[in-house]
Amino acid sequence: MDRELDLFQGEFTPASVPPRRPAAMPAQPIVPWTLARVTVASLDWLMAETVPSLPAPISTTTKRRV
Amino acid sequence: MSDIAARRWLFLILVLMSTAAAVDKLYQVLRIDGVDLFEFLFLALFGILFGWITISFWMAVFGAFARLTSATLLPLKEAPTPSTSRTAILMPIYNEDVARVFSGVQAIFDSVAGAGGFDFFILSDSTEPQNWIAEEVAWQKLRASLEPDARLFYRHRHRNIGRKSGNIQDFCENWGSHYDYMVVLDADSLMSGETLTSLVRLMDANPSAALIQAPASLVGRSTLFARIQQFASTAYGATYTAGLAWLQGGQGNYWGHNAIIRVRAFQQHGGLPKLPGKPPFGGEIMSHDFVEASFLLRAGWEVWMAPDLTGSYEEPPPTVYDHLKRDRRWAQGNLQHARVILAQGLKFPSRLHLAMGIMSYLSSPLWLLLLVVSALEMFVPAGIVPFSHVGQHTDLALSVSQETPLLQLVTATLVLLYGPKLLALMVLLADPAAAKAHGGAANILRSVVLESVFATLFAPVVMLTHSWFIFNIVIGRATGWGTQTRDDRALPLWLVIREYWPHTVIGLLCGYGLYRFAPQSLGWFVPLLLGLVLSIPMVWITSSLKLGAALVRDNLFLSPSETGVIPVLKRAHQLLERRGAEAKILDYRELVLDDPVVRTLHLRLLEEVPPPEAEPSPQLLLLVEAAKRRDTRAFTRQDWVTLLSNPEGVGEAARGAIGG
Repeated sequence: MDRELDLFQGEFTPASVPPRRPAAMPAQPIVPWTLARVTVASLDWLMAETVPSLPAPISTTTKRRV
Repeated sequence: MSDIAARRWLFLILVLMSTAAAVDKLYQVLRIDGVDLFEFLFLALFGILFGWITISFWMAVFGAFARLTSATLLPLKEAPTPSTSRTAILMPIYNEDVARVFSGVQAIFDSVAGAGGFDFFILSDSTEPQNWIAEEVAWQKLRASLEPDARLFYRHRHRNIGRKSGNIQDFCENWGSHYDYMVVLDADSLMSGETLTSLVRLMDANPSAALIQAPASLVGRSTLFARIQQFASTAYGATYTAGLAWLQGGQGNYWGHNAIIRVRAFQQHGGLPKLPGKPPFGGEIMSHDFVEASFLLRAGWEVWMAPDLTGSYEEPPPTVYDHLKRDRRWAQGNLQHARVILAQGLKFPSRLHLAMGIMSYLSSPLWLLLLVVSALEMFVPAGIVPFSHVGQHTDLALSVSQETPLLQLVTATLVLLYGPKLLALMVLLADPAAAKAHGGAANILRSVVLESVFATLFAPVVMLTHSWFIFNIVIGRATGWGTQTRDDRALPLWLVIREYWPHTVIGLLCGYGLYRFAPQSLGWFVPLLLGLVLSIPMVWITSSLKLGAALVRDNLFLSPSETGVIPVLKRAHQLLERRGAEAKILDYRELVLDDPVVRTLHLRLLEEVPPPEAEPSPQLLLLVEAAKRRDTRAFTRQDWVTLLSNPEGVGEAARGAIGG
């Protein structure tokens, strides 16, 4: 068998990985919806993103008269 | 209404109106003698497929507009100060060519040197013991050649649970909490230090961003097929990614690698569930990236694309055969998204991304069905007899009363199919530096024409192959997630004939059938039939390295990686050449038994990431006894894994050998 004579020139570097810091990674749910519900939700999203929101009503009690 | 909302509405309206107009035009033609069942089916299929190519067309129009008006494609600013964040660069591998992997990692490591804050992880899922030990040795050699405090780690996972996404999840669960961000690479990915630093600064300044994708340019291969792909990726890619980025904004997608991810967001929301049922539709989620992006968006995070960050690269498959082999897995992975697309709470753009992924493969059988239906329709007696033809071409027949609308539909289809290429060409020529990097205007024009011819001939081959894949998936034949061929290779002719004779035979039979029974329609099918009939020579010739090189000399299909120098790519190639010139070890597995240095290294790595505990089995004892005598010729892959995963067994086998 061929050998690589100069396989290692330096010292071993023992730590192949840093110390562990465990953190759970929960599986996210996939709960199916009906096509109708998805359509309604998608339209809601589209409208929420696109319909200009109305300005907040002005309170008559705090409104400063000019 | 915000700018992005206006763009999305405009896009939606344009797609719907173009499709509706085309469907209506076809309906007006078909209704003349009443719509029969075949015609109704034809109309439905036409509507779906026309809508599909309309999306690509308008995406390209938006992209070209954005590029030509220098629109802001990524409205995020980079942090002005140097980052104090910690980022892990992850290279998940699975039985890959070890020299290539480590050359790539080292090139990226060198490129980012001095930036600070980056740790590198080679996350091995390799199941081949030869690869496993070779990776350990390569890691140790590389590690020893770097500064003592260089942070380049190697982890071998003993159980390949969840494939690549499981590999990344294992990192996140064990070491992710050390880091603010992680950059996920693929085994053939390269990223420049500058791009990595920009990504980190973008994440620093935008705490609501969970993921930023840096689109990868295809580079580094030399076969003709790969060079055509590389040219198309860099010449057309800028327009495509601009359109996508301009429309998706912060609700983008993840392409599985060359992206930076906020670890905390991913730990909390990126965990994939197992789908109920068996593969191919149930079980582990194969194409994990789209689903992970949709989960992050669902949780309220942003996912962006940075189309102007160059310095992100990957290599294309070298041949048509390898390209389609990869597509088999992607087809299954994307079709599996049918189980995810209606999931509760996903954002509308995520559903669109998933739907477009499914349609990339489903469009093939739909196209095939459209052709079959149109062929069957030819045998239905026509109500209107007098026929005309296009110009002097008697083989391009048209019913007299249908001539104008049908020609309009054909023209519209051609515009939709080739328009995106022309728009991308316009964008490319408008940028003198980019045009020069592709060989100049004249060479670009020649390359675009030839690429379009190739793409036209290639399309029916893809259509037939994808349809076959989908048929297999639907009847429940699952595929594995094997190693990809990433090296340049010219395909042997026997392999090409074995794989593509069905395409040729189908092309010839259909051609004969049309000639015999419907000669007046043969002309419409010529491009399609030609692609099928020529599939064997086309696949074989485009795998040629010599032709790839010859066309470089002829200035065809030039891309920036060939006309200029990309430092990280050049460095990776130099390192790979150097590794290739080094002495080859034939059997790394036996080296564990024979070489005390390799054995000590292996045992130390087993200590740090121990394999799952297992009782010493009679099988292990037999293996140890055989290994002591060096009688390992009959060892299977699993035998080697069993032996090499057991520290006591390795030690005893080695001692026996030394004693003997």
